[in-house]
Amino acid sequence: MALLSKEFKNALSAIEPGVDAEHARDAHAEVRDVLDMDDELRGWGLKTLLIGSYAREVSIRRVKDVDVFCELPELPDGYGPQDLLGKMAAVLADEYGDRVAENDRSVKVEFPEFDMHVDIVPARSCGNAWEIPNRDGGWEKTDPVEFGSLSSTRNADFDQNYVPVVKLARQTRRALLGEESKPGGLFVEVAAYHAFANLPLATGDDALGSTAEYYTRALAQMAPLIRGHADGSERLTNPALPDQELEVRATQDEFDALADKWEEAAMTAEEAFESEDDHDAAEGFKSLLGENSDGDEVFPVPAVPSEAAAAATDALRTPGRKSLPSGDSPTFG
Amino acid sequence: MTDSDVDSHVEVVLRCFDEDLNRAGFRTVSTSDAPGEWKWVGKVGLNDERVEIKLTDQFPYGPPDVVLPDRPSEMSWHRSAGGVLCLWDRHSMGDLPWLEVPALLDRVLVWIEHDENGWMDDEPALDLEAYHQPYWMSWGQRIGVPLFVIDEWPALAGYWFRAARPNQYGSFSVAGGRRSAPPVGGKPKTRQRGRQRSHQPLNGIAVDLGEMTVPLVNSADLLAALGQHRASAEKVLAVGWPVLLVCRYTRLGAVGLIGFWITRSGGELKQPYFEVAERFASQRRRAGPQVSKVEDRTVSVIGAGSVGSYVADMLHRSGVRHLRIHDDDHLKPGNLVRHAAPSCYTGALKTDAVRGVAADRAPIPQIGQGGAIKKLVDAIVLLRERDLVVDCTGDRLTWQLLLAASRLTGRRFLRVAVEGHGQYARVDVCPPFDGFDNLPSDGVRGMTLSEREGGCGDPISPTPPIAVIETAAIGARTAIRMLAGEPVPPAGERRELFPVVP
Repeated sequence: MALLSKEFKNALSAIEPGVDAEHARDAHAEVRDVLDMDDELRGWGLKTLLIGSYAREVSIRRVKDVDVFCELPELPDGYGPQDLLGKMAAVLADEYGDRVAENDRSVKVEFPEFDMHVDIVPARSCGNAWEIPNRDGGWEKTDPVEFGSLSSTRNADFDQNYVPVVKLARQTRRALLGEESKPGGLFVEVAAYHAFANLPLATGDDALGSTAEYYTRALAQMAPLIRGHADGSERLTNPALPDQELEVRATQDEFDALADKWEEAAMTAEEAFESEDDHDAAEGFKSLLGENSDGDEVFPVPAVPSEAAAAATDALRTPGRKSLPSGDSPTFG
Repeated sequence: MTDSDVDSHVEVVLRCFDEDLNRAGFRTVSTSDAPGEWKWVGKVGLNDERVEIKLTDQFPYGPPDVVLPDRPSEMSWHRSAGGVLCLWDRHSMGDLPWLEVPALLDRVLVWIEHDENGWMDDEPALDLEAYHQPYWMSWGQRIGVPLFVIDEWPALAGYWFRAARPNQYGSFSVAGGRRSAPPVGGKPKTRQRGRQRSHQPLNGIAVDLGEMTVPLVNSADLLAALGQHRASAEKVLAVGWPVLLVCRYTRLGAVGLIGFWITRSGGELKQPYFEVAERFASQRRRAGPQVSKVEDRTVSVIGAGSVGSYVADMLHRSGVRHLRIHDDDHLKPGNLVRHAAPSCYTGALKTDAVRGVAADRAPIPQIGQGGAIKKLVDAIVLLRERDLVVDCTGDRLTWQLLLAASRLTGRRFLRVAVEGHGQYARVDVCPPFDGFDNLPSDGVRGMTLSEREGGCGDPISPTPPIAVIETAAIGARTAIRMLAGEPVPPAGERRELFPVVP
């Protein structure tokens, strides 16, 4: 069993958003201030919320977008989704000019100095959930805030291991298929969310322990879920809306490629985790996590101990070798 | 082994330790390149008691800090002020027992079991200082905990005393004997309040705390321990002066000592500890298993030169209380290389030098002194009066005198000498026991000596200091065993040291 605790900690550090986190915080705060100052939006009960991977703390380096969810509970009936997007774009354009672009479902504000953009997603109330513009010019039910809440619960249920493993899974996707590949990080995150439902809770007698074990077991649980979605046998659902199938923009080939890669990754991780050789194990995990956006290897591989170091270690690990000739009668100090 | 080898070695052991702890159900909560940043949490025992295990930078050659976070405020034995369990004594740590994680966790369970049983079958560990913060002082470049040295506890017990300030080595002792409470009655002078001049002696009280069933840790218990002296101590503290509380306590029959440097500032009482050592008793405990048999025997060492100085010094260290040394010579700079005395005794009688060295270590008992043995009658008196006479002169004339005296009195003596300027160590029992023959002189080769210093004596012997000390050690050992009534080689002992290499 190779835990490689320090190496996993360093791997997580290597994919932390770092300075992007500060930029994201500054950018979304600025955009929210601009929206909050519009009288009409305020009249519709505007409440801005941070959503997306950054809000769920599962984003990894680099963070290129931040999602702001705009709840508008008092939006007049009959106000269309495209009108709403236009309204949001107009308010933002007053402040940001041509840095603002209107998309099918959101309004984007570029922050070129941060190499980042903020996506503003307006929403009207729909019972206990919300509706946002869809690509067909209509409304689509969603509940991104609930997904954030569910993620926090997952993380607590698994002794704070869920969020790190989602980050590692997102990095694994990037390492195996490339950063711009489809399906994206959200798909992997949702697969991880469902996979964790099959893992023992942290409070149980059979709870998993290390990051290595959680990562290995999660990859193994995710592989059939991704395959099921790819071949259509069992589509992944939106964790916040269990009746809603997860909508992902990817081709069948892309789904198949991800499923193939994930099955291989699960086997590689299993072999690494079960290895008695820490160096071999680290090489296995390293192959799954690749490089971060700075081009640095994410998973550090410990050096192979020299003969002298190995001999010194063997002397400590061999039972009986440490005993003193004067005998063994320990008393408390 | 290079630095990277060292790092690699520690890292591999750390990874193994981490894996073993995780196998045991513990969770790694903190890691780093430095061992001291690693931490695990887990549970042990039927009651699932929470345990925190944190390494120190001494790992793997130092134990982890093991803490039971659910009982932080409970005081018990074998736990430091920071709540860290003292799981092994120093000797047991030699096995590095913490590296075997199941054994480490078993040890924690044993600790819990003992703690819940009130440490009834405990070893009498005298470690009260483990439950207090130390009184740190600086002396020159060094920072440490001062050491208070007393000669004998009964001389102080139950009384106020004055103590000199710690010296440049951090040790201090009683300045004068028992006294009454310090005169601080009435309204204190403004200049006195809050500080005591650095050269002024310190006020202390010696209190017997009796048997310790639980560690004494808090201020209220300490003040209560002052008994009848509490009021006077409170007065001293009220004017801003410290009170040294020197305590004797027992635990399961063993006796321990500890001191507390008590101060009161703004109503807050502080009580860091300092070390206390009782000189006579502690030295006697280390004098060897024969001490009770030899301490009342009378011994004369003739010759306080190189071999004699070390023989006398070792006999004194071994607890021989009635020791006398005989020599008329003075200590010169060249002697220092092979003599037990340091250079501050240059010019002194060699007997005074040896006595001075012994008195620095233990002022009581003092070594007696006498002149060189030059007449047969003196030798006869000496052999008759003393339980053992040890001739360390290396002088053939003195030896002849003692041999004659021995024949006339029927008394035996020891001769301790280096042969052939360092070729052999030789200890002769004169005459040998049970009719044995004298030791042979075979193997000693002649050496040409040409180096001389002032006077009309022999040329300077090139005998190495090591030969002197080794020879003296054989002689002192033989003397101690004879005094204790233990068997020795009947004619003595001869050992090759630095043979002449052709």
